[in-house]
Amino acid sequence: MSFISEIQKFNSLSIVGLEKNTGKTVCLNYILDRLPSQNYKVAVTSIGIDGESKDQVTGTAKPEIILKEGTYFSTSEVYYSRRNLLSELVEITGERSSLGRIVTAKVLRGGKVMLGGPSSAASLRRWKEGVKKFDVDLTIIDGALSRMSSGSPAISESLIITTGAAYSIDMERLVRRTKYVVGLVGIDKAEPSVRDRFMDIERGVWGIDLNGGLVDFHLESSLTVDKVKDDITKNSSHVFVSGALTDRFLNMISDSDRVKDIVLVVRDFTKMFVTEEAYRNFLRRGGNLRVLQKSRLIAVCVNPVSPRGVVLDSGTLCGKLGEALQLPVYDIVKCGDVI
Amino acid sequence: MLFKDFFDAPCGLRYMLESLQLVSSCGRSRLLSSEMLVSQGDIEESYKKLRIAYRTIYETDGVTGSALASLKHKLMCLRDISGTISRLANKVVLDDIDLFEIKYIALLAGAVRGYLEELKLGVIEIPDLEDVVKILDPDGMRVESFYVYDSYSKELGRIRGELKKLQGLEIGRDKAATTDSRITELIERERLLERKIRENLSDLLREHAESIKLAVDSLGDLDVLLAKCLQIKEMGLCFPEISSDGRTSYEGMFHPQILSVYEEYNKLHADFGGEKKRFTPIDIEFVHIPISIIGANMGGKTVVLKMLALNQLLFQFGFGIPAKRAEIEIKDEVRICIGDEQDELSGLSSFAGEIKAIDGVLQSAAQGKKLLALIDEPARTTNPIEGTALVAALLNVLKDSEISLIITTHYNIPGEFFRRLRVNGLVNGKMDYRLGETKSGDIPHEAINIAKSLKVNEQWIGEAEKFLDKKIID
Repeated sequence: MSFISEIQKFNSLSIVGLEKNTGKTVCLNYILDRLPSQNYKVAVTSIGIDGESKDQVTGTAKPEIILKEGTYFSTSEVYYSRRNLLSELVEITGERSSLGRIVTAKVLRGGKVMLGGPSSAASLRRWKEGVKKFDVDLTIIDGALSRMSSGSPAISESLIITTGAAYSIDMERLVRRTKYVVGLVGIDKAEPSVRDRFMDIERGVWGIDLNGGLVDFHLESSLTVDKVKDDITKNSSHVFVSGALTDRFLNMISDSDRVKDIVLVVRDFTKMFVTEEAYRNFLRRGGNLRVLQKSRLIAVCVNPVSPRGVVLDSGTLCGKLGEALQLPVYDIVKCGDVI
Repeated sequence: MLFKDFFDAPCGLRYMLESLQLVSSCGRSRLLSSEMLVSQGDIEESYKKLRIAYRTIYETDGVTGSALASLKHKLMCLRDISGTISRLANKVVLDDIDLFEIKYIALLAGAVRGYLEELKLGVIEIPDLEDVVKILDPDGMRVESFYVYDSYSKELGRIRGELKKLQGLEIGRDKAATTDSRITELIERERLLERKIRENLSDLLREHAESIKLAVDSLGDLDVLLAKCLQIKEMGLCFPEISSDGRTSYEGMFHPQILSVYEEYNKLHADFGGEKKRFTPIDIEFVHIPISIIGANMGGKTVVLKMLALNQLLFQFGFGIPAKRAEIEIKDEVRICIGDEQDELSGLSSFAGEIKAIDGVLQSAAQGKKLLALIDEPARTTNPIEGTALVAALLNVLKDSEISLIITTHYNIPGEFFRRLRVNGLVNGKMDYRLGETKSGDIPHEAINIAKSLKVNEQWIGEAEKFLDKKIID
């Protein structure tokens, strides 16, 4: 099954790069080019100031976004005035960026444009809701460097991760690091009854005690955990961290005698601010981690070329990653036509 | 003075603004930058509009909530396009975003005019921008979108047609070698043509710049008017009469912010069966004779001043008035001196700040201005002997002026050249906040009783009573 038809099963997609120059834009263009244009509407935007014609950090050339007729796109006023396509302006949104207001337009004749849309998770959600009025079938968010939040299931149902030599030129390390992130995305959902109890909680650390009662540990965040360490580990069957999960909190659970009896729950993988070592230690000790919301990871795309010119062997890299991740892995630049 | 100049005056105007349910930023900025009305004609006109709007919306049978809701929804979409308008006036060639903004507003104005007609609400005239719509909607689609339409120029249509065909070939991968250069050439021509069309459109629209601005302003004003009507209904405000004989009188005057605090408190304490807090409405009437309000601490003297200040300002900005009935004299200025005038940054102490503020009142009085001056406990930060002298002198200096001076004080001011109003005070252990006329200058001695009722350190209060007894014996 091609991953384009897999994407069409969802209403929203985020593309997240593990590092700059991992081929995120190439991947986006590839998808935009191959999605059907008849009876299928797409709206696309990019988080923050992505979509520059030159990479801001390394100065390497970066492809522009190529849009087809009928596609809706949202970008800043400044980028809109520099567009290289014919489009009909349909909305000036209430969102702002450093490059002016964010506007939405419909492409009348295909061409190139730089995308720089809303920059916070909340404004991306508003954007996604806002473009619904144009009856779009799919919203695509081009996520930004190290902004995993744009891949949150709260924003998009499905996800594509791009990785590559820019992330690490040591192939073993690249595979291991990617596997770690993919592992976080793949954390299973908690059982429905547990999800229902925690879903609407927006602050603090909560638990379900051994009698099934809901407990508020009165913690502002998992950063201030030392105060109520024993309360949390002694009598809970489930512990829910509504905000960021940190090493300190995770280690506290790992170090507890009851580590195997507690199910630790986080909202989604973007709230995992833990190091790989702490997470592995937690798993080794028999810890259980679940999420409330999970995105469907459709594919991992790799770019074997690093900005400094190092080129990894594409075939070997795709093979190794595919084996480690048990997921489809594509080098879009090289073998785009065969997917 | 503008509305925003009084925004932080310590009388609760900010609360009235925040509880005004404005739906557009234009409405808010129109209100904030509106001038205080000082002419009888302007105030009459503003209340006439408000009354008609209120009656039409809330007192006419058959006014459908849906038309009103649609009207408000439209106003919610109102955006501030002052940037675009000033670019237009400054002969800048507008870009697609500017043109979209203008078309959007023109369509919005048309829709609002329709709803106003449906509601038979003719109090605010929204300029007809149909000519503007025609300029920006050559195909008559009436859709809120914009690009340089093909129908602006036959050549543009031709160029775009050919471009589309060539790009189709490109996708089909059977293009000739010359296609690329042809595409580049056509795109360049398209760009030049689009620019020319935008120039023409900007020129055409420039003639309408005034009415576009007027439309945006009046849409903002409409938002303010509707919000004032809703506020009158929700807070139970009244339409004031304009006084013609120099008299200002209020019956059942209240303070919406304090009322809401009480309501909140009562809601919170409803389960405990405790006594409910009630706001005592105040009746007051005054002309130009200075008034000194005396009475117990916690008797609501300052609240009276705040209400008078608030109501005068609401009156002169055309709002509903928080009272059962109000007849108000128009003033040239409203001076409010409540709270600490201390300003460390300019090196003024509390005393100096206050004295300066009072001096300002006297200067305005000397210029013959009609003034409402409200001063809370003047000279309270100095010794009672000199303080009393300063306050007595102030009342005396202004006794024959056109100024309505109302102060509160704990000092014993002798003389018959001013009116004394006294808070009824503690009656059977309960505070009666109402005001009564009193001849005697004797200020009430209830401070210690009230302090006792606050259940503070007993030793302290006991000692104070001993000191008081001793002084009286001495």
